[in-house]
Amino acid sequence: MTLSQTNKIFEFKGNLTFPVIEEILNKIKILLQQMEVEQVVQKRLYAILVESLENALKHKTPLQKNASLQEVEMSLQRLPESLLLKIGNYMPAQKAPVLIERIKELNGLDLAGLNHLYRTSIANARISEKGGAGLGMIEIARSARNTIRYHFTETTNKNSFFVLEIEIATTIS
Amino acid sequence: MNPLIIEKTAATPKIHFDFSKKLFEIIGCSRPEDVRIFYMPIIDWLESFKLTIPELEKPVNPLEFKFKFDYFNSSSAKFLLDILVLINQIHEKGMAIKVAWYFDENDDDMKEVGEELSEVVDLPFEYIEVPKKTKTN
Repeated sequence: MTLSQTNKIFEFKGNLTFPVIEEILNKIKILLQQMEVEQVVQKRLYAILVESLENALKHKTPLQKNASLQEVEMSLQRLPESLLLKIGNYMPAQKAPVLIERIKELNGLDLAGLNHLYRTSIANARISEKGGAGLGMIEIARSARNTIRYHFTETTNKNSFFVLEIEIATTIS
Repeated sequence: MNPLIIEKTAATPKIHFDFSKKLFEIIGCSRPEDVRIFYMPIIDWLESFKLTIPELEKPVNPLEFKFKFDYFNSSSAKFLLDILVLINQIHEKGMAIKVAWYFDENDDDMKEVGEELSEVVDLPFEYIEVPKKTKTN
């Protein structure tokens, strides 16, 4: 699996832990300030980063038998009018259809629809064993104001490498 | 009732709930490593506080609950909702309360998420914009 190398301003490959997330967030925060990205975009990208990194941390599948495969890969690219976050992790292949359906559902909603879904979801949310409230993907979708792209690469019989691509415009209209 | 004081970290907000000082505030960033471990003591404290209301002398002014977030993640949002539900129940038990929701100048997203929580829990908030140069936290 490779993530595109073009215009990369940040890259991480390795074992994701909570302290590593802390480090990634701090580094990207400084980078965005140096790039003088609009404050609103910085905050929305921060929200997307937190939710996507926490999702990867909660749902990653360790691949101890093949040490050459990184558990989590992420990159942030600067495009002419946007920032593109790519984040990939291994997950059980059997869970892929549920995730695809979820993303398709979110991609089919406009901002008002996402906000409505968020309100109804938070009212009924339960914290899972992994500590999630099931709201992370909704938060990613409404922070991005854009379609969530994804692709899977089957790497073993049981595991897929799942890549989420989230693009956020650098200018707020 | 003993106050609840939790110091701020990079990933968790400062919590200061103290009825004797009429001080109730949550300040900072919330994306705890374990959201349950962080928020359950706060929920438990508010549950206990709710039970003591009949014995308490009612203050002249409403109790003000201040929320001043830089950021909170989606799992923290669920617990914030639980906290607001408890605040609403405290109000229903006869304690006048006010919820003050702070947001940075131009951070309409933070204001809107406050409006969402207010709507879901059916509790009116007062919205306070913090000018950039005089941030309170």
